[in-house]
Amino acid sequence: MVHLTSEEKALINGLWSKVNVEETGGEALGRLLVVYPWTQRFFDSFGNMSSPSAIMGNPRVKAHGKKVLTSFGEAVKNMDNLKTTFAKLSELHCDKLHVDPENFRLLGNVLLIVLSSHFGKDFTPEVQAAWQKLVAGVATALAHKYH
Amino acid sequence: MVHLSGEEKAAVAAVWSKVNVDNAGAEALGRLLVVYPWTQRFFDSFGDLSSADAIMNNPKVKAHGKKVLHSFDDGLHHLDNLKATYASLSELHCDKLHVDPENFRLLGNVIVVVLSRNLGKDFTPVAQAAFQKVVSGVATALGHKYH
Repeated sequence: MVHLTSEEKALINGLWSKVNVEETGGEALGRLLVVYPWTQRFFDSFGNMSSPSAIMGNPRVKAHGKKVLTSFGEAVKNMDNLKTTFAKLSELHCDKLHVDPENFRLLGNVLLIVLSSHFGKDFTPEVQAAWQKLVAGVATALAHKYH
Repeated sequence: MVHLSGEEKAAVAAVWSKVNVDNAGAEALGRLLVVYPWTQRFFDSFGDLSSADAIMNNPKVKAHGKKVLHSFDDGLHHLDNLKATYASLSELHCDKLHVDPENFRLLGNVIVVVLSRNLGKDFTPVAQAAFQKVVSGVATALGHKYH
């Protein structure tokens, strides 16, 4: 369970309200696949991922990135209850998708990098601290049902 | 030892040429202390670390951050030989400073966030991939002499 102060929650919501989920999701997933190439193995059916520009331009990567970040939006709405919120997705990623939970932490870090690149000055140290806690909490929640 | 492709080396050079190493170093160390507050324990003598603002404006944090990133700059010029480059610093961090090597990875991730924040769109996926490899290599080299 991640313990966020009310200031931290306000900072998280403040940034989230300005996020373009479709673009940011596509970019975050794309960058994950470029920076940590082994993650491409989970997306065999996505077509051309032969170069960074192929990956970043791939429509299935973009669509799936949007889906992933939309789900992340549920975390922002349920910051006090991440484990329940992600229980089903946790089972899915363990039982069907066989994703090593370390990859959730990597994606969380990539998301922070994308947010910092988009928001510049608005990505203050306090905003970064709050978001770092949130992505860590989401990664833990996604790993919670692993067995 | 870090293996960068020709494209990655060019991306690193392009990014680094736009970085003010003094400012980025101060920002990275400050953000480490804000985002991962336990790291403040290594800097007891630095004075006021009581709030994010106090940390980011603390002159000793800034001076030390500058020192740390100039050392990182050294690593960028010796990517084929990071272990030798950081051997003395590794011994220092183990024997005298007693720093858990996990903190080197955390600082590396904060450096990537700072680069991304400052460069925005210019921090391309290829640049991110290259820098992620570099910070990981530096963290490993700094942990190398631990016993």
